[in-house]
Amino acid sequence: MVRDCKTAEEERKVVTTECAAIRTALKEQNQYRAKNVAKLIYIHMLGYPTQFGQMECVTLITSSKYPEKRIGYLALMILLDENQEVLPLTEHTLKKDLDDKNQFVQALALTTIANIGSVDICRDLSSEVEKLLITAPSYIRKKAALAAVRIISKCPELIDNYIEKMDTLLSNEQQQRNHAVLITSLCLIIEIVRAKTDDQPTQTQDLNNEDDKKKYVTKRKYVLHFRKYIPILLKLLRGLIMSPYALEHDVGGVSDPFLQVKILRLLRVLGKGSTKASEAMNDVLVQVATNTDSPKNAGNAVLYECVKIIMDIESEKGLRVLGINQLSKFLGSRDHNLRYVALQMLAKVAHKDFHDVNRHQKTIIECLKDADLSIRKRALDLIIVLVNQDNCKSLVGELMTYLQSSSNEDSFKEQLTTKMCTLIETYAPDKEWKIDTLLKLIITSGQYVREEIATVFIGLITQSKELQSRITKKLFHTLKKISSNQSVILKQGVLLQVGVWCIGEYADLALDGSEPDEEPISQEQIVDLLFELMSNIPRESINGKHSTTSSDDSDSSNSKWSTSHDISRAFLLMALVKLCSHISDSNSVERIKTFLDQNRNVMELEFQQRCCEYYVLLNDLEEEKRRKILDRMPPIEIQHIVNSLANSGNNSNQPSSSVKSPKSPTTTLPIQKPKTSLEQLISIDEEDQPVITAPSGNNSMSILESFFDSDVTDVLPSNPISLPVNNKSSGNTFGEMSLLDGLLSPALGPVVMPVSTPPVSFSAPNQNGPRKVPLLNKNGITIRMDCKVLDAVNNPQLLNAIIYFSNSNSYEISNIDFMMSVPKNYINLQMFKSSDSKVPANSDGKVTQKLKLTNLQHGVKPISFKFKFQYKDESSQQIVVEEGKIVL
Amino acid sequence: MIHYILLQNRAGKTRLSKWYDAVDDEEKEKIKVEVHRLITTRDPKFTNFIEFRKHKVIYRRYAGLFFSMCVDISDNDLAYLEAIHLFVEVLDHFFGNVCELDLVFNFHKVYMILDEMFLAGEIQETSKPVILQRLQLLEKLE
Repeated sequence: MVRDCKTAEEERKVVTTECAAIRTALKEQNQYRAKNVAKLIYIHMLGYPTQFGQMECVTLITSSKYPEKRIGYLALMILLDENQEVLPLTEHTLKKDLDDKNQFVQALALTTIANIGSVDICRDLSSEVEKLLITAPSYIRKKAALAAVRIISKCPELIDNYIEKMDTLLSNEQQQRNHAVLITSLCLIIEIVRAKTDDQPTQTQDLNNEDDKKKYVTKRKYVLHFRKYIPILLKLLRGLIMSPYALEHDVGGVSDPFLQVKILRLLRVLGKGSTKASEAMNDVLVQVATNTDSPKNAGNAVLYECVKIIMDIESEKGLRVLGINQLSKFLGSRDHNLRYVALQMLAKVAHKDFHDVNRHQKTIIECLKDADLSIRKRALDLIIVLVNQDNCKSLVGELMTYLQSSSNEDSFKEQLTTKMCTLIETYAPDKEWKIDTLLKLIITSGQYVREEIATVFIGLITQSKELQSRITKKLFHTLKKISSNQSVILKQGVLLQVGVWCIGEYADLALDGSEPDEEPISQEQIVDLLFELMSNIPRESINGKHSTTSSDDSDSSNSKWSTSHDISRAFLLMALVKLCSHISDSNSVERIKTFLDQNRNVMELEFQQRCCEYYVLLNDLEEEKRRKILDRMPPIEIQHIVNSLANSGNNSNQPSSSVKSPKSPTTTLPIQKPKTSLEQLISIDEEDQPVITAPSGNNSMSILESFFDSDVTDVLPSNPISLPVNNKSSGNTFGEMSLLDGLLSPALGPVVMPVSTPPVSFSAPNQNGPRKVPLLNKNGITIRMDCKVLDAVNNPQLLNAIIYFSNSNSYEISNIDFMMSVPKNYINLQMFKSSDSKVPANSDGKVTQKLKLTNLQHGVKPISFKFKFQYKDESSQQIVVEEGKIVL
Repeated sequence: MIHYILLQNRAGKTRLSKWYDAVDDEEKEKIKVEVHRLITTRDPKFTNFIEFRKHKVIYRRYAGLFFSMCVDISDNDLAYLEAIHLFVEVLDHFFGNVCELDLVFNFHKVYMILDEMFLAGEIQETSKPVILQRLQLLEKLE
């Protein structure tokens, strides 16, 4: 029979033919049915679909011949699972077979229930199983017990039926002779008492849910019920330890280690949380720990389980010490498996027995160097638990050495790096060490460091005046080493960003404070480095072949890369501009200006816009103002950054978060300031614009505000801030603006877009997506207007707009009323009803209102309007009125 | 508890797979391939345990065959390792110096042996003599 199958093994083709053959055979004849089903099992094992044979199994188990029945059941268990539709059809046969006189037939039925019993089958056949659990011979009883395990795991409401059966068993010594019955019954009891407190990973520990609570209480009831059998279990256990050699149960010199492990496991569940129960176990546990002495795995399995129970129940101090010592023995063993379990266990108990565990620090660190990934992971977990403020320096140092030396898998290195960052963040004893270590980490494995770390690092640097010079120099030298190697640079995005940022900010410090043993850094060198880096980072791939600069058009097809490269390029550009105020070498400054000039019409929008703006900034702005803008960043509150990083998940529109998106949070930090100042500059000529509110806690804004106070109004008229006149790109510029707006407005509050400046025509911006105009941001209420010209060619006068009302407060606002007034002589306004009169709490743009604006003097006068927003604050029940004036 | 038991050779051919959870066929194939890749690439000196998805796989190699059991994270690794060994010993006794071909030709018997030792993802019988005795009885019924 099986020989037939052997051919099937050779090729898929053969299997297909065979399947076809079987299919026909199943339809026609009867006598080879068993044989055919057996073939099916084999085919299934090879991984081919065999659904067509399922019915055949159902037929086969009804056979009166045992061999056929057996193959039928076997196939049933292999080809089917509890979810298959044909399974209910077997229920009748199963029931009949459970009552069969032949115990082998009974066994088959029980096995089937135990292995693939569905909820229905379990519920319906439970009473038969219960009967067998009491009356049948041991061979059937052990199977019945495990079938019961399945039953109660599927239908927990049936547990009570089995409690009594277990009572009978545990109080009858005769029945305890048979190990198999005993071990399976213990399984059943464990299943019954497996409370929510058990360390099952699938079960959650929180008991908030009412239903869970109820379950917990009932499980608890069972634990209490079975606690009275602790003495019996202990006696059994002692019996096993003391028993003379018995061939029947001996495994590696230990008497039935499986049973011992099971008993210990049950005792663990019962003893947990009860001092009295734990006390009772004390002596026997000591006995187990001391008497089990086997160099083989079997003995160690028992010892391991013994340590587990010692650590889990309320053991005495002495016993715990014994347990820890046992673990250190495991740890010192040459057997990898033992070291693995020891590390796993130690990590669990480390918080409780910190000092005992910490004694083994050295061995644990050794384990980090192990070739086996399983061990390394465990060791790493353990070390993470062990780190505290006192040993942070040395342990993180160890991890660092390990990180540098190891030839680990990438995934593991990434894990390690992330964990190290957390440790450094949490436990660093002083700032200097923290910065140095983070820097080292970034240099060593920059490709694994998450981008947030760059933000944190930059924040730290701004706070530590005394380190800025040294760190910048170090970063300069590091970058210099890799600057010519494109592949390295591309991987080291974080290092690049951090380094470039520091050079931009602190180049002057790095220039003058050179120490005697160092090679001084010249201004040209710095500028050279930045340009080299710039040319080595591929730009975003664009369709048009409009390359005006020297940098090579590398094909960065991967979109993820190209965005991160864009960020890096933005960093570089920013640094170059900042450098202009730090260096005196006029050649270099000229070089930078030329570069900006050349790039004023590159195809990358972001880059182009930056170049244009920076160019204006460097060339046309008064010295005094430029210096203020390009001045050093004030210290950044990292806590603020970290917090907003944490919240940045989905509310990037809300005023509190200062990040564009969780993916590239670092972008805002370095570019924010000059960018925003420019925007404000341009927008400032409106006298009665809404108040610009900088979010509290963001110190980087303070300079801006002071800058804002100064009299700038005269700057603008004399200053044609002409956005690129190139037709193609100017259309996009405002699309770009709105993108930036999303980035910047959260930090800024409402910014009114500059349109009154003549060169920028109104129709242009609206060709690409809606333009977003913030109208109001006050008391957690944000109003934004998205406007769009639908038909820019035929009807550029008509502007469609949607107003979005957002409410970030925890209370709703009601009776909202948004009113608008426009200059009647040239603007027509048509307003629709708002989608709701209430704005729910914590909603973002849920409530909207549509309107149409027609500018009869399109191209001559901009659209302007006044608005009034009135609403009822549900927390204070007050009517609030907000007003503002907007010029588009 | 045991979630599944796999028996695979070095080339990745499955010689036995027993599932105590309801897993659909496609997923089963995926797991088989992943487990195989995971355990065959490990050095013989390494631990016999490896975390896999939400569980861990306890495996042991006998000649060209890998016996693996997927168990809960909190289970006693060593005990299951011992259980694998017991299973192999029983196979060895039953077939008399067992080899891969025995398992291929008598796969249905291997399942039968498995069902005598493990049930519902738990160990059912721990005594080698008892199991062997029972198997002989069953053989006679054929």
